[in-house]
Amino acid sequence: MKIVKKAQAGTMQSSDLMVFLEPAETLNVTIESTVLKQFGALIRAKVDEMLQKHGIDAGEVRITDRGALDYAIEARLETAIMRGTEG
Amino acid sequence: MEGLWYKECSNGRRFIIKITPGESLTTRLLQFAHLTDVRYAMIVSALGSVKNVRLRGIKTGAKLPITPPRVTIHDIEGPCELLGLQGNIVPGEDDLLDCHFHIMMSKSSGEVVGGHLYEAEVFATCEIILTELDVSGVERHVSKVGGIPTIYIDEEAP
Amino acid sequence: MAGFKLRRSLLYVPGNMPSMLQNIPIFNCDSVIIDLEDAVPLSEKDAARHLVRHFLLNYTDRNKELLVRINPLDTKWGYEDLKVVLPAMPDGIRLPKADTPEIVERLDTLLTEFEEELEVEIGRFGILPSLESALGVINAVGIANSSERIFALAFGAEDYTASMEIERSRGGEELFNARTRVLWAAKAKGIQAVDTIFADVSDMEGLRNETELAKRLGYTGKCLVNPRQIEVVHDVFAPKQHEVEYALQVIEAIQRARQLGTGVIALGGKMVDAPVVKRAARVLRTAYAHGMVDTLIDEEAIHGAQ
Repeated sequence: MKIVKKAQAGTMQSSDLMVFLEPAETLNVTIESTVLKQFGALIRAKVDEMLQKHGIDAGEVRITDRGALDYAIEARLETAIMRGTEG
Repeated sequence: MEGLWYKECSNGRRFIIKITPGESLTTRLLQFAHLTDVRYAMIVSALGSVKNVRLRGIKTGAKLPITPPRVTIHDIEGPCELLGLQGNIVPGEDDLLDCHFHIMMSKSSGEVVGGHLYEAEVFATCEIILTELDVSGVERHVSKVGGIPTIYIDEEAP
Repeated sequence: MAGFKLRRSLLYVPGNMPSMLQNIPIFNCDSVIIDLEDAVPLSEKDAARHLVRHFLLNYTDRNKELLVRINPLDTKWGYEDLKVVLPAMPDGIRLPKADTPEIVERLDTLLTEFEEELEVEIGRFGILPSLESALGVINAVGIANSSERIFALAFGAEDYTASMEIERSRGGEELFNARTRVLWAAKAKGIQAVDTIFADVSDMEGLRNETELAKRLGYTGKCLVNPRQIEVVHDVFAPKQHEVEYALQVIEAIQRARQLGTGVIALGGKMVDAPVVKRAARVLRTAYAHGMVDTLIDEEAIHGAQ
């Protein structure tokens, strides 16, 4: 699937994250997190896993995480991808 | 023609049938058809009174095929006045006769209940007028789509 | 009664809030209602159902009943909520705006289809209809009988008062008829009745009074909007120690009466016969579920040998 328009999902609450997607030629993932040092790598791994699962290989992906658990990362990415690839 | 099938039939013999108290409506009617070698028939009228009636309604929003969880079975002890029986007798699987009846009956309050009939027992009496139909190429089989036995009409059959 | 299941407290949890969702395992309420309806803005309906799905898929060793309040079936979100959330195996669905038996029947047939698709036992998903309008309250009896999946009827006063165009008062007189009718319908069908929420989280005394009224009428559960309300509700629904002791005395007295060949006996100047024994049995069953007595009362103790 391709990201065809700007999209976002999630909230700024604690234990949640915001996902911003934009169409782009190459895939570029940037992650900000209140727990970047401890969990940055894990968050990145989960993001890559979800992008791969949904066949996204290009696009600007920006994550601002506020201590979200895996299930929330998966859900918010899935919703952003749905919104960004719609129509 | 897709969506509509038909076959012309002409009237065969006509019968007055009486079923006595305690007898099963459906069983006795099929037995009658065997005795008189009636292969196709329709109910013209039926009245009397019935008890221990089992009928079904289809639940709101149900989709095909009709399966048990999609219907509501009602067991009505009665006795009730038998207001009417609509339906027909048509050869079914491996040429055994099969009947399909819908029933209407009323409680003492005058409230009418009805539906697809599974089983009913005659209470005081049951008087049925039935007409045999002369037709061929019409059979009842279980439809995969509908989930229930339905009539199949072979329009070409002589 | 098949497997006496305590459902005293049903805590609402907003469906689009991870911080609340992931606290579900530690709340000590009996049941949780994860809300995809009023607690979720229209713009986030898709996000919330996916969040709830992933949460449920990850929450495997569950320690309470998990219900999901979907959007009404006549909205464009209701069906999608079911499609996304059901595969994650909640225990049941709370149906808002259950105004007619047909609406509940429609949910019943939809759940059947999903169960067939998911290849799970037909009837696995329960239904908790929310009677929250004049029409819903009027149709309470028909609704209670509209599906074998219904394990309780819930009265929703917020939407009910809106539909009646009246305000909720602290005393709750304006809700009295509606509460009673929902209760009759549930008791006539032999299922539980669950009372509405108490919105003022800082007013614990108001909550206690309303819960005691609901209990006195016959409700055995109440919906909550905040975890702090759980303890008060459990305290009200738990039998008092003196009630348990009296119930034990009633059982003892009736057994003595039966030895004397009679079905009625005086206990402390008051008459004890079958209905009194049945009430005592209910107290002891609830007490057993609360761990206040260690043996579950059996049928013979209640009704006597044939």
